[in-house]
Amino acid sequence: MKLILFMLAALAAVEGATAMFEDQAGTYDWYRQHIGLVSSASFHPSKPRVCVATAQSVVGCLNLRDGSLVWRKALGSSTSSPAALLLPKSSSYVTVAEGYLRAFDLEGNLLWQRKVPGSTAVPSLAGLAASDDAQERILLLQDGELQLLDPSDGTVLGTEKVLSALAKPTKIAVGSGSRGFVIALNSGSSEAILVELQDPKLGRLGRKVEIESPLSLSDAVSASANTVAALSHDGKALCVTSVRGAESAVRFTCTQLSELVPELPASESFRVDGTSGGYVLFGNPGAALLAADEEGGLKLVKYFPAAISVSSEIRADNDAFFGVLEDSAAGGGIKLSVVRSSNGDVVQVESFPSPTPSERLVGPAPVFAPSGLVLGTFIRKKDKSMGFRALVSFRNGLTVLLQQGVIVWSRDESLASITDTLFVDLPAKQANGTALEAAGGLKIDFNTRLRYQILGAKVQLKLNSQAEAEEFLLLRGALSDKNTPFRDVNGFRKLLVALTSTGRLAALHNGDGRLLWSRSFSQDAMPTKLLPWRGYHDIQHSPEILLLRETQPGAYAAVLNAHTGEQLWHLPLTFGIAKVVPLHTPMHEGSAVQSVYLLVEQAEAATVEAEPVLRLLPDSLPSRKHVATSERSLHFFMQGHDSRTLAGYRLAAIEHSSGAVPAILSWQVHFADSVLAVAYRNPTEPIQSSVKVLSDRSIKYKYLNPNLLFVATGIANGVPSDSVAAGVDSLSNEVTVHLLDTVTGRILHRQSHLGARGPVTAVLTENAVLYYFRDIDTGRFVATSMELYDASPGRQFNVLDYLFNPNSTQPVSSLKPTPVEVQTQSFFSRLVPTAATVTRTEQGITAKQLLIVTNTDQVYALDRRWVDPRRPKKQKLTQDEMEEGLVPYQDTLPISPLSFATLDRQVLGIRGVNVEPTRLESTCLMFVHGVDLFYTRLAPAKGFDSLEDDFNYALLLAALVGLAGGAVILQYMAKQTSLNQKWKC
Amino acid sequence: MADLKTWRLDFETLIPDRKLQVDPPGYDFSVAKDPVGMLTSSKPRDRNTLSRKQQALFAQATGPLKQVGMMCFMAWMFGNSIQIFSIFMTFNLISAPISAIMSSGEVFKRDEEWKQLDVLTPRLLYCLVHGGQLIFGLYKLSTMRLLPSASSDFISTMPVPPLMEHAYPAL
Repeated sequence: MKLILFMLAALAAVEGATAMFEDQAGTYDWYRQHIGLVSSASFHPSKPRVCVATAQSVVGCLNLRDGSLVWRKALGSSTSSPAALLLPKSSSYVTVAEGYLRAFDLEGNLLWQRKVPGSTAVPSLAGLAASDDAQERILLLQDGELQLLDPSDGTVLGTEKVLSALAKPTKIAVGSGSRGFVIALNSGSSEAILVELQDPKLGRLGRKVEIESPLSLSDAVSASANTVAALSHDGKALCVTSVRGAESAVRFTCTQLSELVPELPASESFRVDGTSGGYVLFGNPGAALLAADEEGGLKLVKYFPAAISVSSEIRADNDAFFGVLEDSAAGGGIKLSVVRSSNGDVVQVESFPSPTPSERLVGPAPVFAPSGLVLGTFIRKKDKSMGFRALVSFRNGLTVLLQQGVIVWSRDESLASITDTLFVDLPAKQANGTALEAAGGLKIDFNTRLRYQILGAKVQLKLNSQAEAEEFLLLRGALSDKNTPFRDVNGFRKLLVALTSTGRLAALHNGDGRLLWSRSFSQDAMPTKLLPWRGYHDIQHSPEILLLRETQPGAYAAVLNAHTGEQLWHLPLTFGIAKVVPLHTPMHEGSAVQSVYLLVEQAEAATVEAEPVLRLLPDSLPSRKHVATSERSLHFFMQGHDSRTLAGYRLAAIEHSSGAVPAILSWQVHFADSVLAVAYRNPTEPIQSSVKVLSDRSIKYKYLNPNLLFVATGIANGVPSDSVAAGVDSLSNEVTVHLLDTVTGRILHRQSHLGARGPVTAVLTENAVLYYFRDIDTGRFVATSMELYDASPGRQFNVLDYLFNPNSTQPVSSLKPTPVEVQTQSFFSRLVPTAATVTRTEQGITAKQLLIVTNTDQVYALDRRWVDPRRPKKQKLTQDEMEEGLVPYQDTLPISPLSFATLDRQVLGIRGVNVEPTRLESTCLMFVHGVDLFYTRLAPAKGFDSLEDDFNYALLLAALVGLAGGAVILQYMAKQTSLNQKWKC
Repeated sequence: MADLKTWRLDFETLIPDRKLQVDPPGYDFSVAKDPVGMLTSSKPRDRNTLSRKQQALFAQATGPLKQVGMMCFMAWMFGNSIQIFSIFMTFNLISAPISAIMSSGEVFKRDEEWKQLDVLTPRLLYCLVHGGQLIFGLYKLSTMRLLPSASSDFISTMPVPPLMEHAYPAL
């Protein structure tokens, strides 16, 4: 009995932990590592590494053999690509992002880092190559100051104020000749500054020359051996100047591109790349190789009319080459030509097939528009001759390595840029054959199942070998039904539809994250929002999803079949959409459940002050009727004319108006400080009970007004306040939180925290608010929890009335407000949150967990009882308090390593956490997306309503059979013994 | 047989003042005292048996008292925590008296030979004793908070009242 009591106590102690056993890893969860959309890349000349910087502010190196990730580092939370530089001699990868210059070695170890002073603008970074008499050097331009750094330890060798007279931003280009020089200019100005490296060996900066130009220059600037070229600001002329022996004043001489390369079509964005003897002008499509003489004269060497991408120049074998990528005329593949930059000879042409994705493609074929091309060399093994390889990154997120006519490997990185996700039901097994194809793989027969059960028993009893454990895991994956593309009774299997910023809509199976179908959109028809549209109660129909493109031109609404990805209809919109407001009462049409949206029209620039105009989607008679009947009084609120103002609007009657529905301003709240965070309840969140019963059986009514808005205001993030800098009077900084009723704009509650600053992270669920802010004095994050109760005096409850009178719950109105009782408590938090959300189950009965996204790119599942404001401030609890599950107050929230919902994974750059309830009340599904993807199944109060999926029935059966057999044998033996004894007497 | 075994004379029993004399088998003191009455009517003997039977019935009715006391004490010892054992205990505490009361008719059967025997009073007493255990069981349930006796026990699933106005965020 003691053992059982102990086990019960142990169970109670681990309640809420999401931990699992080692062999359960990968059963309910999957994890995909990505690196992001590649924006720049460089091959290491000797080691099998290609180092990339991505648009998701991640840098890292890939293995050249198979494209696998060797290391990666997130440099910040911004979504701009960091400037990066691979220095081959010192084998370091230098990056600059978010005010830090960092150097990593090829295994990802940080060699050194330096703070880059100045503004937050991304500095320009360039490298000086090593030569016989010169070391490698790093050049950094920030706020008009040029710095020369030693790549071994990052020490500053020289600084120069080059562009103090010019405004930001500035650009640098490094000459590729033996003499180093630096050109700095800023976009739109007609003067540039040239700095020579006086002593390349020491790397000292030298003479500074100002160069004037007849035309204003753009930031497309490059340098060849002895000349500097910049594109004019209007993009129609190329201005070149010689820097050789520039004792006298030098000037740019500009040549119109139409004269220089008559075939080159006009383009918005020309790119200029310096080569050793001239320039490559790239206009997408079309590229021209230009030779520049020493006086700055330009001459067309060769024109490539079909070029869709051009690489920068590489040096190999005492020669220089660059790559040109062209659309191959036949078969839709691509053609890579390697061109000698001195004379324009094509030294190598190879054709490659188009990359073919493994999933089913729906709609128009994806366009493979390259966004970057990097050329590298390798030595062939058989004849030691030199060959070329190329890394091509496409706009749709694909990165491929081309070598010897084949695609060696490809990485699909589009899922690293997911912006919106949606869980939809999979088709039922009986449904018609249009459903998703069945999962292939292992043939399952009885022997396999038996083998699996035997192995399971062995593993459970720890009698297995290593190979058997692996086989067990393999069989479990194959035998488990979690990957079949049909819906299950418990609603665990779902289709996860994701929209990426590369214009791709992908449907993933939540069992293992494989792609079932995907659909690509062209750059000018890229949808920006993914929303549910129509669901069905029957199993014949597929759910439908809505895609919106919000910005004009080309705004549209389109509805897709979620199971097949087919477009059902497409409606071009005549207006841009500023906001989408989902109405939470769905419309029922037969067995269909139709979502209804209000679209806030984008105001014209001139009429920003005017009241917003709304449109209904779908705009039909039934939907108007539905809105008119289900929403007795419809309001909405949005940001006012500045970021500190909130404005609430009331909608005119929808039923009688045609087309646009005008909104009438009903309230406005202006906050004294910047708004740091807002939070509101998900209006569709299921709430089981509107009361809380305390241990003395008294009743507390929860304050469950769905029109509740939490607003935190304070000094804006990132703004240094003088008092903080001086370290005095930190109390003058404060974070104020407000609770607003969004129908009337009335402030229901307000509380302030002195000595506090943002960033503020807040989550509002049911009647509870949890928000985090930073305490200046302690430098720690503080979690404050609020619980709201209805404090109407004299509220009585009549059991008989409740049980037998169906009208006993009277509707409430925001216009007749009830007083609010706020219980609040603060705790220090060891976690630094960046976002927060909450678990959600079918009925809302299961205790909720707060999902805190931390700055370490993990998700922590925090039990609500830890942040209960009623936690008593004493160690010894009474029986009643223990019964309520209260925990004694501690000033710091406990952190349990087992409570990380992301287990031991780091989900790099988390941008969203999507929680979906299943049909089992205990369980919900969580999908975390950022650069990485992570999916798992959560049971906030443990799986109280189901057996484990991997419950070992064989062991149970064996135990039962064993017991029965033992009983029979023992009975026989007992009979024999007693008979023998009787004979003895 | 049993009577014969006790039919034994020691020298000690021969001491005149000692009452511990064993009568020979078949010897009835009352008959020996009043042979006439014995011969004329069997009533006194009946009365005697009747009172003894009645006494036995009462003893049977109050018999479970000790057991009930023991059960209640054990239940008290288990405390009010909700565990598998205390739940078993409490279930037993309630189910045992109910089944006992239900089957009290079997225990206190009306004897056809002795019609004047009072069965009802001991049966009621029996039920009362078991009723005591039942009441204690219910009290136990209520201290374990398993008895819906407060109004708050009925509203844990009170639905959220509908709201007249809806304000949607467009942030």
